[in-house]
Amino acid sequence: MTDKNSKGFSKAFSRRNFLKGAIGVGAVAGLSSLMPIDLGKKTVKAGTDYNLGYDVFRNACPRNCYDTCGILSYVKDGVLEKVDGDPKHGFTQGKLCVKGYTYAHRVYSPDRIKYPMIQEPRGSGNWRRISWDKAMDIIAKKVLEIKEEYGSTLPIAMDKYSGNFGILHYVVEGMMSSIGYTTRSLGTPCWPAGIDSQNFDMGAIYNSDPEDMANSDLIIIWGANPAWCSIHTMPFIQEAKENGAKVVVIDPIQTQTASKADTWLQIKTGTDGALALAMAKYILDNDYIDKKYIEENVVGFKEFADYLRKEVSISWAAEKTGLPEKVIIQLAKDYATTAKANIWAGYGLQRHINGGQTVRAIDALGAITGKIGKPGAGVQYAHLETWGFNYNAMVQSPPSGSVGVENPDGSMSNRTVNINNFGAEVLAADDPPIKMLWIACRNTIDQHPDVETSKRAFDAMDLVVTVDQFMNETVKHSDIVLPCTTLFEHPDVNASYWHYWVNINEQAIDPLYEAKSDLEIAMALSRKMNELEPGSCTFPTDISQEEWLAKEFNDGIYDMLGIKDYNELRKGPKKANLPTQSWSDGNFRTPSGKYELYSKTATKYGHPAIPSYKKEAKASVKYPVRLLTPHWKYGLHSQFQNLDWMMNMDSEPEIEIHPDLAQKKRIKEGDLIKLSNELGKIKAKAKLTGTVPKDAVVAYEAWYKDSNYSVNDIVKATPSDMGEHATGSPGLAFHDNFVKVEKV
Amino acid sequence: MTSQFNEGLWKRRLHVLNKLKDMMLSNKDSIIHTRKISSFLTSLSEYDDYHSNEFFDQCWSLLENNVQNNESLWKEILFDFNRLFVGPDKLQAPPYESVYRDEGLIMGPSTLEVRNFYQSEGLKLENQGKEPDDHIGIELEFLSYITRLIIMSQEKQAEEEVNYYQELYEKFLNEHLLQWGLEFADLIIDKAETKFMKGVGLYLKGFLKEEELQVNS
Repeated sequence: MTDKNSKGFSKAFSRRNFLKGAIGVGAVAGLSSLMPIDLGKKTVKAGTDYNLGYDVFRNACPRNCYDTCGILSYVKDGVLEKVDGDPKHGFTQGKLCVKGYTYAHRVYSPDRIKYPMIQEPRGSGNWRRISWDKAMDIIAKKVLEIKEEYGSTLPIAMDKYSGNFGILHYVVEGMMSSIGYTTRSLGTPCWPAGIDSQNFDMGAIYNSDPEDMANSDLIIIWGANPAWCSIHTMPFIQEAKENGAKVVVIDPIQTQTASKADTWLQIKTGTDGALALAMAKYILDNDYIDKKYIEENVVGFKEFADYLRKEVSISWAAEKTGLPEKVIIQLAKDYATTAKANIWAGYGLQRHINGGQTVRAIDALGAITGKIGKPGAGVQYAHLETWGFNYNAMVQSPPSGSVGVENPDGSMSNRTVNINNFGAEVLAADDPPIKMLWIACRNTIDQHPDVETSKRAFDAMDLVVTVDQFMNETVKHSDIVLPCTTLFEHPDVNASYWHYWVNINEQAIDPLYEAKSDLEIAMALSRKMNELEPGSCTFPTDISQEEWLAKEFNDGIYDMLGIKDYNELRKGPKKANLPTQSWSDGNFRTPSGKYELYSKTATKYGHPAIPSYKKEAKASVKYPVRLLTPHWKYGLHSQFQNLDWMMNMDSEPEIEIHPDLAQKKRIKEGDLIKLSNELGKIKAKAKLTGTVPKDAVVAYEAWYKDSNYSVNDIVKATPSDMGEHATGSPGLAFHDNFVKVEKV
Repeated sequence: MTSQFNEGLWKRRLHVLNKLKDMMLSNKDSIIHTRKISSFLTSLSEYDDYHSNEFFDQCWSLLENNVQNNESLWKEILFDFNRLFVGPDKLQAPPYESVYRDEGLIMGPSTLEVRNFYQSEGLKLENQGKEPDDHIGIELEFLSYITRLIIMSQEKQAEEEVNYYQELYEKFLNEHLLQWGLEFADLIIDKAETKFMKGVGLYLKGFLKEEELQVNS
């Protein structure tokens, strides 16, 4: 371009010299955004230029997903030009999912939130810019005012969950602790019932290395859809298939995973526990149990066997599940007689009022057949073995003299509200009431069940602060929005709750506009708080983000990853040197140290001691159709679907309905239909498909651009049976939700 | 356009460019923004002879009775400005060239071409890498800078420089601002909720139409 510009240009005339003259100075003086380049300095960023002019950085997909992919980001001229999978990541193996490949479109969407802004009044859509300093000033003053009025910071509530699972993102909790005792949403929405089950049974959630699935001869995928939601597990399943393994998918929906299986069993929704117990009964009656394993590793077998003999029969299960007796028998026999039989208990399976009991019954199959801890076998759910970081950013002390909820021993703690009944509990809190919300890594209004109640809770606040990247229903109901960085704009480290790899997340580009990371926001708030009232916030302010990152590592993590310094992760992700099969040492983390078919811990929470059938939820006359709201292939919760590439492929939500049900309701393909219940209604076009059950409709949870469509408008905050033990609150029975279906 | 130097025309251009660039850049401080609106309205009555096409006429008829010191109106204009160009909601009229030319994203190839243009003239964006280089306000600022150089060169009777910068002005206009500016201006006119911002859209359109005519004559 410079050459073209210079065409026909006199050599005697040098623009550089010209600029240095009086005329140039005058012209430069009129500039506000542009500035003269300092010719003494090179503006090119330092970096290893080994890839066609790109600087290449290692990133980690931090979303709430099994796969936690290794990403390579290609940066030129400070611009993230593309992302690709990191071939050095042994689990994700150089590939990303359809969502991951859109990342540059997320970073450079013109719709990103760019500056701190304030809405006047809340909900009006009238926004004006404020400086970071002003934003922090408003927030800090409100915090101090609340503390003055109520004598504590308990009226300040935080709702934060899985928008970014990077270890440094736990700084949000740390920031809250550093101002005093506050109110926190406690629990997790989507997997607590299963977590409790495995805690009762084995003392922890701890799945085998999922790469071990490649060695299985039989894989039962029970209520999971990895073809959409964990695409990097599929190659390991495929490898097993190529070696002759049989794959069985148990799911009410003929998912894309089901369509790739050898056998798909369309079970009646919520009756999986009956199937598992009937399988156990068959195994017991036909003496397929592993007596030696049970003797050495299991407590409570006798009680469980008595229960099975008294309460369970194949015919009962056949009626419950809708599966023929011979199918149940065949599955039980195949499972019992295949040494390398692996069960993957998915999260969908336990989003029911009986979900915890279901997972316990499934776990029991592994225990009585001695498959736990064996190659190619086991019952897989999730793990947290590679998450042993310091949580240095998260663990902060409140200022001395802070007042919180007083414990019996005189110590103080935070107040909690159930994350799965957030709006209602925020509204109900009255001693002291909740006056201010801080929302981060969470689209509270869209993602909590019962959207209307959440909105009412927001309306009752003095101040709502939301940290986000895009406008959404939560931001719409906030006073102040603070723009946050994407994963490419800050450093972090990420572990997976499924595979055994740990990735570093390097900062690849400058933060766009005025975006800050949650960590920088915490430091900015602390600076302002201490400026207004010295000692009012304990959060350290003079540490760089890289130093914060370094502080998250310890010898335990280093030993597990076989490294001496976290910087070694820049050369590639590392796999934890854990045994391939979880529990292979037989050291269960239960009170007895054994697998507990009989769990006293379970009884403390009001559950039967042994895995037992808990009655499934049923439709009512008024709301006769079950609403299933599984994860969507082009989105993850309320992320990704709003991006242009996704909107090009899938521009609006659809409700999947079986042709038989559609015919009864006189609904045709593309008709606008309405789903309603006590909470409200949603409308979308009908998609007729035989892949969904005849007694249910499927509406995927996803947030579309320019649309206020949210399945959670009609999803009730019905608790699942378990979750309180390990996560503080029971999970949500998302799939035990019933509606009326009508053509509009 | 470059054949004959018309000093009056360049001075008027400079005036219009400066008013427009100030108007289009977003400010942290709402008070500055309010002053900008006021100054933009005042400037409309100056240099009447430049305002020679139908869009300027429409702008004028829309805004001539709007010149009043009214705080609530100014706030309304500010909110409208933010809906169009700043956020936090989806932008009604994204003010970045690459959004119109490169897959609807910022920081695309055309942004980098614009960056190279600035660099070739020894300039760079103060927030380079954080804010897109091809924001409407910055492209206008660059043209304003070139225009000042043209006028100053002429005062010094440096003919080669005058010709060089006039060519550069034309080239940047043709290769960049005119590639997207009219579509952008139409979006403002279409999406603005206040008369004032609609007027700004018409003013920008009027200016670009005028420049298009000049360049192609």
